[in-house]
Amino acid sequence: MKRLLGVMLGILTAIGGFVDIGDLVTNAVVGSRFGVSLAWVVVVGVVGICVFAEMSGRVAAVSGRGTFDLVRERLGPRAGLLNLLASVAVTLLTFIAEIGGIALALELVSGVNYLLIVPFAAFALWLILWRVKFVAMENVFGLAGLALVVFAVAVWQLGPDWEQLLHHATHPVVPFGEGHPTYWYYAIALFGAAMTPYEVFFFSSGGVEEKWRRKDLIEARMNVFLGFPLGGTLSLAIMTCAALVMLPRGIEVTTLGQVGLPVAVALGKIGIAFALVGFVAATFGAACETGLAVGYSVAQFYGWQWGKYVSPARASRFHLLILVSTLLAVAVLLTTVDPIKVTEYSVVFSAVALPLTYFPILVVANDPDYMGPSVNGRLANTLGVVYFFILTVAALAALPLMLITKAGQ
Amino acid sequence: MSDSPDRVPRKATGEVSYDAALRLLDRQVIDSDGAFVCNVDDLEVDVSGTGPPRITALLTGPAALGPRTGGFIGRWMVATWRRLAPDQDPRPGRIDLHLIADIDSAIHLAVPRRRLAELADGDKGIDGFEQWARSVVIGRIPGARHDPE
Repeated sequence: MKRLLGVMLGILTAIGGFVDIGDLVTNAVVGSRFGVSLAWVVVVGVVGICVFAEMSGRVAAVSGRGTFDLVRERLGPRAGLLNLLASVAVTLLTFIAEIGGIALALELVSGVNYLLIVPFAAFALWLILWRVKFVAMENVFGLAGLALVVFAVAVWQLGPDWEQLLHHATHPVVPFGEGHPTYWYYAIALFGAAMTPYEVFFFSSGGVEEKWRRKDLIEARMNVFLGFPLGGTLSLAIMTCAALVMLPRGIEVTTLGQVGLPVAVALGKIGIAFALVGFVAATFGAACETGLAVGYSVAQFYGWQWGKYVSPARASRFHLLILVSTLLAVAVLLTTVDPIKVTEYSVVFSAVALPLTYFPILVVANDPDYMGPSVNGRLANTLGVVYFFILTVAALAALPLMLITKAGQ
Repeated sequence: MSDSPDRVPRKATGEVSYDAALRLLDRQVIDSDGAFVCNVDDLEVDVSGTGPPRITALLTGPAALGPRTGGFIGRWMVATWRRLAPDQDPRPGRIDLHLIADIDSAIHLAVPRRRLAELADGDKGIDGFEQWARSVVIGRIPGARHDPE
């Protein structure tokens, strides 16, 4: 019974923890401009993150090694270092976007300008990373993030023509007034939002921290195969909301408030209250994950002590990294750079950096000497290779498309 | 894994065919308490004897990693380390091969990490940055020595 509860809790937190500022913003922006014609990308992205997370979770459970430990071991110090720099840069960008997201969400709640909230939000975040246990952190924010289910309720309340909606989603056409390059640019952005690399660093490092063994793999797989797709449906609900309310009125989403607007239209004050709780929980949870992911990546690369299962004094360099990244994020946000813009760039650069960490994990998961009986089966390997191809194409196309479309304008 | 044919004997005597670059380099080193110590940044090889070259120690730290990284970044890494090191003529961190208890996906030591400094005649090479971060920043923040709640 206790085990079943544990599995349930894991799945619920995976659902609530799936959505972050990148998913919130990108899905709403895409919904308001392209309707549901890019919904298929969310499906492709969710299957991709399942494949990637399952592989790296399995590798973590069998070998007890984190992602960047393996990246360095397989690529050597030189290529490994370039890989580390690129991945950490993208994760830091995401971290900045998440802290900005917390501040924007709290601005919606309180009416206080977000720039005044940034330092306090960052301090609260740092305190959590300093003191709170891994599991407690994951569960609290994951469960509170479930408030975002309100977007699914809003879709149902708005009473769309389901048949037409499904037709638009399954027969995608580029809407009038949008060019093909912009369509594909946002396809890559959505893909990057669903498959952000930090999720995988966090997931596999968490597996090492909680000392997963082979027998824990079933639980980890349940989290991945049920939690992530259900989290993905929340992304689709956010997109559909924007498609139903914003697109017909020609309003383009440019603020976090507009992301929640359809919920207010459908469900009034109660709805918007739930949406705001969901925003704060989703961004706070993701900020914890990205902050830790920066520390995990660098510490694993250099072999330093890392993790939240020891006191900070025993992992000083790891905690120093987290402290410095938090200060850096505050400094960047206080330049008054628009957090929504930072988010939009972070999801595209995520897509660019993905193959860097995906490839070494795919190689290790296929190494029978390393993995023993838990080596990639035929299905995992086929999907793994297909996704490596998709990731590479998306990564190569991202920057040219960004230049051609002036970042989606 | 533990059943691989080219598994190293407890004290690597060099008599078994063994791809040291593949099996030792860039692996995580874990002490007898399960704490992460460092990564194997380079290997110390003894070529003085009459026999074949022998690996005698694991090397770690920027001085060992820099040359292997190469280029501008590698040189910069070593120069920064040299400038910041408290010693006049700093050496890379060194872990004698005798201290290795087991090798699987990581390298397990037979001693806890605090013994390493004593064994290396007071050389702080392995722990310098960690000790600095602890004494200057992290150790001074309230709650640094509490386990997470």
